[in-house]
Amino acid sequence: MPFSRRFSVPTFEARWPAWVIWLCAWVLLWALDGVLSLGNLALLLVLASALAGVWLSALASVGISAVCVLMFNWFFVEPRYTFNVHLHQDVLLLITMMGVSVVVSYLMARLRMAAELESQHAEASERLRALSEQFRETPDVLQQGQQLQALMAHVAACDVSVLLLPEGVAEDGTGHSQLLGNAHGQNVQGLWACAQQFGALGPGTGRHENQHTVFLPLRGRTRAYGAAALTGAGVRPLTIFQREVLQQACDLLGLDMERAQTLRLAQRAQDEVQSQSLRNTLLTSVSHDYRTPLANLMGAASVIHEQAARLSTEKITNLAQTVVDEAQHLNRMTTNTLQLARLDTGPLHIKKDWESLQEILGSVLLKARQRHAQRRITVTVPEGLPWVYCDAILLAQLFDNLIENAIKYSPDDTPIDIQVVSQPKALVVRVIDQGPGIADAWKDKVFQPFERVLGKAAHADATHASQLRRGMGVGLAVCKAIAKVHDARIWVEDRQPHGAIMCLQLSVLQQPPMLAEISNP
Amino acid sequence: MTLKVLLVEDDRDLRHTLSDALRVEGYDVIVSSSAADAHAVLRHSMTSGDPLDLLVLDLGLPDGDGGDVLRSVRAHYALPILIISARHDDANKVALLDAGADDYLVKPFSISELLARMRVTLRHRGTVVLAPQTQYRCGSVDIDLAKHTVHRAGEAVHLTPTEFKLLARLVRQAGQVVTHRQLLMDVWGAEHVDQTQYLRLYMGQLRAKLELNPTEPSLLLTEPGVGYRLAESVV
Repeated sequence: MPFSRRFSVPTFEARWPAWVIWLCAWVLLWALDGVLSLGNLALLLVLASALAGVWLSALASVGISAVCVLMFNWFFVEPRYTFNVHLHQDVLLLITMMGVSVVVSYLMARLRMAAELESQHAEASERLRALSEQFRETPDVLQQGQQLQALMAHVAACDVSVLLLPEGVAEDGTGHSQLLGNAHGQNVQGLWACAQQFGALGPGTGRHENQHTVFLPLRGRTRAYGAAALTGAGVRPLTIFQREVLQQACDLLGLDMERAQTLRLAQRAQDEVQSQSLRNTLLTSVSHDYRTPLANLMGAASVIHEQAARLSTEKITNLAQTVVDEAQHLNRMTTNTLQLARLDTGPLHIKKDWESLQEILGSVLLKARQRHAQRRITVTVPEGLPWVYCDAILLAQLFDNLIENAIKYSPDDTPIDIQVVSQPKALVVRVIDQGPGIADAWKDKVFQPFERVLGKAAHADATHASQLRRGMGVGLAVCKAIAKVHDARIWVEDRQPHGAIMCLQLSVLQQPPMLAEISNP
Repeated sequence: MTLKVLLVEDDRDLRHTLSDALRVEGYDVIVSSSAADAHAVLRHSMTSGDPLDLLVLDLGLPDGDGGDVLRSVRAHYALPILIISARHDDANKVALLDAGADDYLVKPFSISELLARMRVTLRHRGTVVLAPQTQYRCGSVDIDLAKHTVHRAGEAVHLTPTEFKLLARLVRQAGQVVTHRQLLMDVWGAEHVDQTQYLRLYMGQLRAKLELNPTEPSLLLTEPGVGYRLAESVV
């Protein structure tokens, strides 16, 4: 417990209070000489010695006390002005005085050391805290290494090199590594050895004491993620305390690197799982969804190829139409499957801009009407819709899939209704068909890629499932993926009395500022 | 006079199918399966007395990228170019259109689509060689760029100067897609090429004035992510 804090002044470091005390003591001694007995005077001296010891080092305190005792002997003890001592009790008095001075000084010195240590600890923990904060702010390992290097160089006042092994140290000493500082030759070997042995090397560590360099490992929980070398030619050796602090700093980085590596490994594992599931989706899609249209295509084309001479022109035209239809169907499925793969691997190719929903719907409708000239499609879009921040190509694909889906799963003589509803802070697009609708149990599953749906479906449900899914491929799964990258919601509702309503809710963001020059170009 | 078309396509089956179909339609077709061969044919043909009328170019060629062929042709000859490619990549599409391709068709396509695009592209040879198109008529809309007039169902339609400029730019390439960038560059200037919201706003205004149903336009068509296309003129 630092004394100085409680008394605030004077501090331990000051020397003048000791001199003042001694001066006062001597003034008092002279003043009270003859008034008090020698024993009482001597007590004054003991008091002064004890008090002065607070501000003096042990050696100075003992020395001054000795001088003062001699002076007391000279001036006050009979016979005066000699160092001779007549009475035995005077000898005892002098020895007691010396003893008390020494004890007080010694205790004070210990207190001072404890306080010093305390402040060193506080400083060290403050440094470590600041370092760990720096590590948190800079996720780059190289910069973290430089920060550690700077701190160590500051604390130890010597040249520091840091070996970084972001993937941890390997048994065979290989792996990705980075070296900061100008270590070479033996020191580089030392760094590797230190990391591999997971312990400090060099003077003061009990291992390789004959070295001139101290090596400290950057320790994670189970292995080292590098090492630091303190090359201090001619510099005073590190204290145990300093080495401990430096080791803690090294461990801080070691643990940080370990955490970063754990995160990397987890991410990699997750990526692998994802790509595995994506591969499965693609494979299942190809094996299930592509066979039917391919079979139709193959059938129609081979009939034309082999029996053309015996077929009527009308029949051939019909078969050719089948070929074209199935080819278009395959093309659509391919586009959807590829899009799903692209969106699944990460939304890298998304180019969002402020778009007009009306425009996007218009372009989709134009193509849908061309493909299904006989089908009645009604559209309700209110005027003055806000702009939507989206990728126009993706959103067009989404609407195209919804409309195609509605057309495919409802009778040819029923209309498809498309409604856009403006809500506060959102736009909802509803694609309504008058087909059989979608059972509640399937309302979520229709948006999942093929294999996952089948995997969960009960056996009794399987026939229904394959009928429902026939030809749909991954169309709605793509819709879901596209909605997801737009933070939009997609869901199915029932139409009364029958039919399905596919709903997409797009949030409306703060509209872009329309520049004045636009209205007055 | 028959029109002379160079078809550059590396897939043998597709090359045969397309060239047969084009010959049935009365075109004089020269085929080529590589970039080097295409260059040789172009050099020879363009300097002869009977130059090519149209280049139909596939992008994925065995000895080089079709995009490079496009750029080198654009640099030397005023030859209309129609790109056909399996790459469903719209950024690339826009880049090629901006680099001077007249139009772009993504495989797979039907022969009728190809023929329609070829017809439009050939009609616009005029954008370089002859006087540009100044008369436009489609449905009930009449546009005369020279007289600066626009009529819908016989009635004059009042357009702001910017609206007219935008419409005129589309008329000059009626039937062909014009990229956002090209429109912004020509109507608003080079400093506004990223302001696609200008376009959307003005296109909305034009549709409100010219279209029967602005939600489902029949004249001012949107190519999402690429640009706009004015429906083909019937003049």
